[in-house]
Amino acid sequence: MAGGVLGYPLDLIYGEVAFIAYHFHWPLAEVMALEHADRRRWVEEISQINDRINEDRT
Amino acid sequence: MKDDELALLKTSFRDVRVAAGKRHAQFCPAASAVRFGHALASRYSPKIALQGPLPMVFRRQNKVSGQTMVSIRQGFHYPHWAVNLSHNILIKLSTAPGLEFHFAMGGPSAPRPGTHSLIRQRIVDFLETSIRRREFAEIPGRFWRRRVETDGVGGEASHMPTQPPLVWLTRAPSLRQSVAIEVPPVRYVYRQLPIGTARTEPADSPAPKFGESLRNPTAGIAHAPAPKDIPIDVNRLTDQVIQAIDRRILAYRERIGGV
Repeated sequence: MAGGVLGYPLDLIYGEVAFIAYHFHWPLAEVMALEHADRRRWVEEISQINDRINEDRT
Repeated sequence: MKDDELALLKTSFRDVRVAAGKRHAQFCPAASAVRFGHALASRYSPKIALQGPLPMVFRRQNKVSGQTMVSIRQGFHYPHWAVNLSHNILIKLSTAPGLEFHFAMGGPSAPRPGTHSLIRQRIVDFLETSIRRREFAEIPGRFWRRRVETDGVGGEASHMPTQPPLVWLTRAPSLRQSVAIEVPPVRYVYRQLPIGTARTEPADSPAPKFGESLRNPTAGIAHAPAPKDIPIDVNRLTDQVIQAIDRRILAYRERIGGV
């Protein structure tokens, strides 16, 4: 099939899934079941939480 | 087509925009529409509008033909010569700045009862046709595509329609194997360890090897960080030691019958 789309980069998926699982301890299946947009959103939320924690410590 | 088959791709757009179209807007090339069709057909496009654009990889004959950030919005096309609004999907590609691709979902009149299901079916037909035929001239009905040049703002108007945002459901084909490309990742921020909790080892001390702790149980203790700032009560520790000695002496005397 010509002119097709699409793929979400695999290395990003691995990184995002590991990031969420590391912080939330969610099962792999549940993290993998997230939509890409939702997964990216959770990664961003975790980063914001860590941002606030890091700022409080400094 | 059943509704549960359509539920794989759910477009739930948060904001409704009004796009001011041009009277003699040009039709966009079919390639762009093909990309749009495949983008919608992918599993990860439904909530794009909620979290912003997502990276997408365009593939042609199993080769990466391009990449872009795609954002999709639900909107209403407001032609200058018409009063009523028509439903549109607005597509923005980072590779085509200043352009919005408008996909009209209905006629120039307001949607009648039952129009939503018709729109939904048209989207499904559009996706199937775009993927199978790779062209759009044969798409039935009033589902067409149009390119509208904008000034970067997207041709937004101040007037907002009163209709509630639609939720379109359509069918998604199987997700293809993705490829590794350079797309902007999300931001990773890790928590910094507080000062003093980081493991500090002297530079001249070799790290314990695998299995060394089994042969020498104290090997791991030597590398363990020494606790700091822990108050030690010498008198209390002395009392505990004396009491333990007394208990042992008493138990010994009990065993030999000396008590």
